[in-house]
Amino acid sequence: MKLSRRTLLRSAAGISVALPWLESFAAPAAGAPKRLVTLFTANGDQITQRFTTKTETGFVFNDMLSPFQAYRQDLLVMEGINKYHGRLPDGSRADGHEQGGSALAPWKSGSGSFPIGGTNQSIGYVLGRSLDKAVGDRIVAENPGVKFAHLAYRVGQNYNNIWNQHSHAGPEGTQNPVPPEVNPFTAYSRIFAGVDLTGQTTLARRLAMRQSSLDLVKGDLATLSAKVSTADRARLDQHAESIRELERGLQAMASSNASCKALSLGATFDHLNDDNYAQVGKLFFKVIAMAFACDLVRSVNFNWSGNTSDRVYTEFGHTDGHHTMSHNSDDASFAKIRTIKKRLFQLSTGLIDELKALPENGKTVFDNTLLVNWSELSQGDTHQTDQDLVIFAGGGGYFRTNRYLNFATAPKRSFSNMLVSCWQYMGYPDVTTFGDPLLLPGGDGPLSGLT
Amino acid sequence: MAVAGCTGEVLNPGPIDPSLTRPGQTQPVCGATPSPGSAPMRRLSQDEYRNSLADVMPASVGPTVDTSAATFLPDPISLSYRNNANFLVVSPVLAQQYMDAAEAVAASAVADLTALLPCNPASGEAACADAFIKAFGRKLYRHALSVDDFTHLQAIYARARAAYDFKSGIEFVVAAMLQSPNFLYRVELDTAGGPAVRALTGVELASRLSYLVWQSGPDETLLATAERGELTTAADVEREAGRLLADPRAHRLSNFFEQWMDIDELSGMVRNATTFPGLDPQLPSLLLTESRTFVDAVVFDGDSKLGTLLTAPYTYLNQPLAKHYGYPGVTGAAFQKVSYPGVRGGLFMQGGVVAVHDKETRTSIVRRGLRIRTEVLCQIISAPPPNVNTDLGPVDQGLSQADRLAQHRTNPSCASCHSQMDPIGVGFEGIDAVGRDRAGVPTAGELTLAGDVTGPFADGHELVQKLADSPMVRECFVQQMYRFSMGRKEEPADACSRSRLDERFKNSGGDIRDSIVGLTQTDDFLFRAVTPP
Repeated sequence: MKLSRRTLLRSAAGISVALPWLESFAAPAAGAPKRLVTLFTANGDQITQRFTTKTETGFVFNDMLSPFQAYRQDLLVMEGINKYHGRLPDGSRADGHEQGGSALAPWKSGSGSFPIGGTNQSIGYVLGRSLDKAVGDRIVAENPGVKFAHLAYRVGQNYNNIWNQHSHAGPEGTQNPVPPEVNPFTAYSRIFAGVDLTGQTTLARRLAMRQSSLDLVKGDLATLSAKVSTADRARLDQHAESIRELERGLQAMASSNASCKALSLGATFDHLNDDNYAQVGKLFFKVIAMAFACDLVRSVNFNWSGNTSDRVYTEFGHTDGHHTMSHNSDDASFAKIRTIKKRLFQLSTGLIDELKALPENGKTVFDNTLLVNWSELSQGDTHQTDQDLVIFAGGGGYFRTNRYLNFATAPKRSFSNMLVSCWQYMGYPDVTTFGDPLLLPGGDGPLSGLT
Repeated sequence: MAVAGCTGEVLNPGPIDPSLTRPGQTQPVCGATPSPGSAPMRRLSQDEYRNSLADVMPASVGPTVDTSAATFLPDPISLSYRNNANFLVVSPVLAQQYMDAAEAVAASAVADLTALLPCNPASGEAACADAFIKAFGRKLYRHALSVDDFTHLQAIYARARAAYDFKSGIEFVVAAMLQSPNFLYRVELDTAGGPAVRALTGVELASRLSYLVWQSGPDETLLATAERGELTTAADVEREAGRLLADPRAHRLSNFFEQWMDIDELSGMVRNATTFPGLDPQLPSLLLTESRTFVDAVVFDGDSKLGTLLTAPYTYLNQPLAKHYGYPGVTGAAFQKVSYPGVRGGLFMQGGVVAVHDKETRTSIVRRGLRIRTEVLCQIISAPPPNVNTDLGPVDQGLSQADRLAQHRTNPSCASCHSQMDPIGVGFEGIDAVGRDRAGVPTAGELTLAGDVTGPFADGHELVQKLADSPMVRECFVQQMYRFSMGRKEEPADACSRSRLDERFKNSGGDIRDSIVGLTQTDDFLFRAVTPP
């Protein structure tokens, strides 16, 4: 532990955090790292009401997407993206919401977890890693200084089921959903090595305690692993991996980025109180942006509720839930769906603002980040997943932005090809396929025409 | 089994689980030798973690245990339950939460060393530390420490004692033990080269028993009994199961009922203030307490019969909740037995149980029916295939829920599945979305493709009477309890155990407490399918 390189800062939230001296002692990075955030909004939208003009450079957002207008220079807008989940065999495919909500983890679904499923058997969680985890694993394997492989955050819902977990830890063949963090205050103190201490002596003692505990845990895990079955060992291995990540997280940060500072999240409030929905998301965005600036993590799975969200948007006078209304095809219901989506898109642009506010290498963190806006469905009343809207934001010139692309006329390029595009943006051109081959009916490779 | 494919295909009703061949059928369920199902190593559930610590710590540490465990991320739900061994992994977030909890609990524990230690350090610190490590380690790990485990913990004490003080030494030891896999997992070790099935040791049985009945580790009596070699036969296990069931800690089994009926999710209940003006802000917790009290009263203080649980013409209310229901004559904050003034009764008709998955402004006939289908009949509903239009046409807000849902059954793409849910849910329409009685709504429905309960019913009351008399429901209840108790889905290998348990449950007239004892008498509980490294 590098005590001499730590100083204690007290944030307005009353959380003391250990942060490094801001002097640079790491070799300056050759370039800023690349980051990835997936941004989820539930229940699809209305396919016909996205744009009024659909030309590559002259596209015009309809009202639902108008919050993105101010950012269009940084956007690559895509529609007609097909998840091809219908190609998964019966029994390995959950319904549109569940399978669609697992689209970042493009694998077959297992069985045995939910009594709503394929013919004659219950359905389970997907059998493999999601993009955020898979990319994150590669990042930490190649960059020991990055402390966390990925983060999974969700606004609202203090329970975890097949509908609201979109991040999956795998490995392939294993159902292993990642329960997301829902409290931005504890999410912050956790990754910023939160300690509530008043002096260096106490800090040293605490760190000594941690080290002795973690040494014991590692030893006990190793001893136990040698004595248990293969299946049990897999879970102990994951525990050991979690301990390694915990240890990395506890080490002094070595950020060379002057933007890396303690955050002030303000006074705490009930993060599960629905009235605080927007504010919770806003705070998570601050945490994500700062975690990027400090290079604690480069991959984040963020969600405005889980898929099939039935949140009632009382702020618009709604009395029925989002998912409930999304099953209807009448104009009035669609108008409400568009209102909800517009609101969520507007809130989502808050992350762009947060990232742009953090300078980095003469640009901003946003210029080194790719945001992927997605949903489990294309549209709710039809439960369809073949006309998806996906909006990339950022990428710092890697993608040719301020453009609209429609993949409906280029069939057989899928949501999974889009995930390959994300891999390649992240600096892994060697990754040309991801997930179950059934979901890549047109073959491997990224979506064409993006860069 | 699936009750229907959404293409309109209709499957015949059959046994709940085709793998379960019953006596009288072609293949014997139980052979001459024990046939346990798999027994994956189980990480403590969040409830088990809290109980396991609270039961071995001085009372003053209890609040810190509760506060710490409350921060843990909820584990993924699988088949209703949050204790499926396959999903109880230690993610990076949970590892950190365990660390924070361990540090907070350790600090709280050493605040009063006299209450914590079995000895006086003034008479010799090192000896006292050794005694503490052995005694406390045995409680936390649920078996006597191995020489290696003791040595490692002793070294942690010694280093912290040298660097700081005695109290730090104890604190460091507690913090480390609370994060050790020896505490966090229930471990049963096998060795290679032996038989494929082995009897569990007494000490292993002690843990199985205490986690089954108490959701916690064994107490001193149970552990000592096992260590003396007096927990080896099925009769020994039956005797101890009876003792544990008579202890107040057995009431934690209400966890099972809460997860089965999802009432542990009541805290997320939000209702529209215009549709439901003047609701008691405490309503969700009042409804939860009502059901908890009722389950407790029936299962532990009453006749413990499944039939009573499903049909009892009474519930437990306090003044605020009685006022909410509009039932007169209840005073005070304490929950007391109240006879229903109308035709209502049993767990499935309790306010919180019925309303937990309702919408903010109205009932959800679909969700109410779905739950009976999947949780009470143990059947599977097929998911709608991709690209099926879910629209019911223009929504006429003047139509009742039931009328609107009639469209589910006229639209062919919906009908085959929704006809399995909606006509059941209609039975509960006499209860509104906040759990109160309401009159003037149609409540007549029908169970289709539901084995021995197939047929029409006039209202929810008649429906639950039918369910309570049904062998299919009884078998499903056993299956649910099995999943919760074993921390996994049933599998072909444990068919004998489930069959025996079902027989016992039937012969006891559906005695729930007795079925817990019965569970301890199965091959699955007493034996282990060996899985060497």
